[in-house]
Amino acid sequence: MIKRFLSCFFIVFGVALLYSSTSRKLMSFFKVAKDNNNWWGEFQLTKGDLLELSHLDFVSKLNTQPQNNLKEFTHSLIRPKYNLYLLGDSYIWGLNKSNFDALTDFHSIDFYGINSFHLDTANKNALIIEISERFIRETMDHNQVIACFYDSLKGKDSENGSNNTRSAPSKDHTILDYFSSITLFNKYINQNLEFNLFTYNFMLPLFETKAAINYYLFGRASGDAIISDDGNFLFLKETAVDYGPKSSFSKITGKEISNIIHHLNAMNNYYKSSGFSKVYLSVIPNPITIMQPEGYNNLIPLIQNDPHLSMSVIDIYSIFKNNQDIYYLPGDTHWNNKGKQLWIDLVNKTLRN
Amino acid sequence: MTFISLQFLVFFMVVTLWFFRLKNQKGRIWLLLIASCYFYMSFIPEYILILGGTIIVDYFAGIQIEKSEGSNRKFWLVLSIIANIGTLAVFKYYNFFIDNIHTGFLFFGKPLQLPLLKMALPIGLSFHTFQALSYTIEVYRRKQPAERNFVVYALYVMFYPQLVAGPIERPQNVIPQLKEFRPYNWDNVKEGLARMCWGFFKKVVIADRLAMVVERTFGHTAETSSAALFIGAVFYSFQIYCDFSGYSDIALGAAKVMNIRLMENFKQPYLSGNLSEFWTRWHISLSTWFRDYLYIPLGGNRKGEWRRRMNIMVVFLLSGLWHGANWTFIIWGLLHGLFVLILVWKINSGGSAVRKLLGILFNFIVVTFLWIFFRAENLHAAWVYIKSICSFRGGSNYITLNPVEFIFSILIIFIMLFREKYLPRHTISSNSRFWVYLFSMVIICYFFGVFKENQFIYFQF
Repeated sequence: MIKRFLSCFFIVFGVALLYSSTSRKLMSFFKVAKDNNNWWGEFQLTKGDLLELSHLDFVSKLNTQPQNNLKEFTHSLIRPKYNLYLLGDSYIWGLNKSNFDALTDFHSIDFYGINSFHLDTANKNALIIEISERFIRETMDHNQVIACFYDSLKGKDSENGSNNTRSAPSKDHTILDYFSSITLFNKYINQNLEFNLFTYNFMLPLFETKAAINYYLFGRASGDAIISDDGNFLFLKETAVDYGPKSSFSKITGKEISNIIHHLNAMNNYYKSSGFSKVYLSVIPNPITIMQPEGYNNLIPLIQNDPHLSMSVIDIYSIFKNNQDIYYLPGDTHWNNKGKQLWIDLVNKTLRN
Repeated sequence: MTFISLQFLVFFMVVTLWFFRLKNQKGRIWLLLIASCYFYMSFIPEYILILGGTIIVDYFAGIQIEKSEGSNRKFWLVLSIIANIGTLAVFKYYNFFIDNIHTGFLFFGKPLQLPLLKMALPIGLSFHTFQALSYTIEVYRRKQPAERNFVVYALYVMFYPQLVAGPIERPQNVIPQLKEFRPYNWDNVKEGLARMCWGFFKKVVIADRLAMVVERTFGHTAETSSAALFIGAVFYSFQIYCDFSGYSDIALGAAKVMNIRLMENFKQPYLSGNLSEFWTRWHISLSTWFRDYLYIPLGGNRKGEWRRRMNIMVVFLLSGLWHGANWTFIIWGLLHGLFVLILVWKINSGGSAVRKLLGILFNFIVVTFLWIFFRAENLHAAWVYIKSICSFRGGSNYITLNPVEFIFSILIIFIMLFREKYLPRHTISSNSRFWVYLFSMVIICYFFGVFKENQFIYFQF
């Protein structure tokens, strides 16, 4: 009787687990429900995203150190020239109007998010498309992601009433797409199952023990992070291996560069025709590109220096490369405030000219 | 859904428990078929249409072969072969063929642009194609009655433990087991789970750890020292063994839990004294397939020495091609065939232990050097790798592992070899010992496993 009950229980539990791990809505619900510090809450490490991935927060030298504040502009001597629209990823999170010099207005949009912005055509508008190096190859080779860039203006009317909607690149739908879209075959199912089964505060010691074995015994990080040659930084593994689109070392073909340039130029034309006076591209280098550049595939210079690129460039790569300072956080994929400030200074300088 | 994913573990738990809750075989085979469809579709859903298409053709071809006589029988067999080999040719070899035509025309200064197929290879295509072929051939030979129950036949091809990387089964072994109601057997469950744990250990603790070294040495051949390259090649021999035999252990274990016995695929191949023996111990289900359906029909060793040699070369050439549409696999296969013919000595059972050991060692080195062709991206890379090992040059000794992990890797290889040689069985009679074993293996696999999204190597075939 007990065996029968247990087997029925585990069948129902397993099916429910598999189903819930394929459902975006249920996963969002679980995510919110586990956002607490109870024993069953999701463990939250705030010392760096790579530390979180590798569970190495007990290694103090890899923890995020206190950061200097960013400069703030309260009174500018220059006359405001532009509304600045910043379309980018997590590198620009937390920036606001006061970080920039002499703007009439400021909008920051996460291009993976669902927000879109309202274009104010009464003033001059400048757009900066900021993108991390590790995303650019995938992004520019994927119609759905490229559509996100266009979607930021989709359905929004400008102040003078004209419709700024532009059609994003179309995607042919076939019966095969229907099969591909069944969420039962959610490609994140294993991450979701891990989240549902193991990502709890009370499980953290297990993760940390494994991380400690790997770190102290085998000298490496667990999971998706790797330790830098000097042992003082973590890098995202995908950027350090010599294959895959996120890598700083995997081979790039001329065709791939042409494709990227083609999409960037299309975006430039699209945004300019939508009412922007200036459109800039700014590619933020992977930390490993700057800190362990041996064997670098030169993705950023190949894009930025391509003679066919019509979009203007805000080149932070050359500045990082030519300085010996540290611009990245030790246990995180992002830059520190020194790097961020340097980039803001460069943006200010570009917009002033 | 790879065997080393959480999705598989939950899926396996649900399917197995449900399987034993059903009290009739009809329900069980339906459950297994639906589960197998879900398993296959979790890779690329739409490819189920290709697999389904060949299953339908072979199902009807089998019935027609049985019903017909004379040339009609042959017609239906040929139709089945064309459907299966045709599918394989289109999805696996078309682009390779066109690429070579392009190269040929370019060589003669006449560039040509023929369209290429922009589709990924359906996972495990070579495996289930060969399994389906063995069915129609056996029906044609009257050694297997045609299966009238479509669900049973579809399950024979799609049975999820062996669907994507074998063993390539024979209908005589599997179909009767699928039709027979087999009650729950705790001893089989224990044996199956123990075997699965051993497979997980070989994959995540050994194969994926060695993969880090192999990726490094094969990816940075130019700057790596000969010694490090040699280590990389030796580690690849063990990586591919632990990867593939680990997969087979999980497949056989998963089937065993459900009281279904699949054929053995490996018998300690690196303890072989020569290459002929190696091929009776490595990927047994494939080598016996080629023996039964190609080598013997071609005349085997019955038509003189030269014909035997030619037959061996044909079998190894096609075996290489079966693995992949690349010249590296073709050369790998041909070299195996050549060395099977050249390196013909045998280790006599009465020979000295030293002589035996030397034979095993020499054979292992030959196999290891041939694996370089199998692993390399192209023939040039393979040649550079071999040349670099033989040049005894210096260079970077960096192999991604620190000394502790390097020694640990060698230790676990020896543990694996020792265990498979002296404790090959997975039966544990005592319940308490079984639970201790299971718990220990889970702990070891978790703490010492290298977890990354590594597919099994043989999934690509």
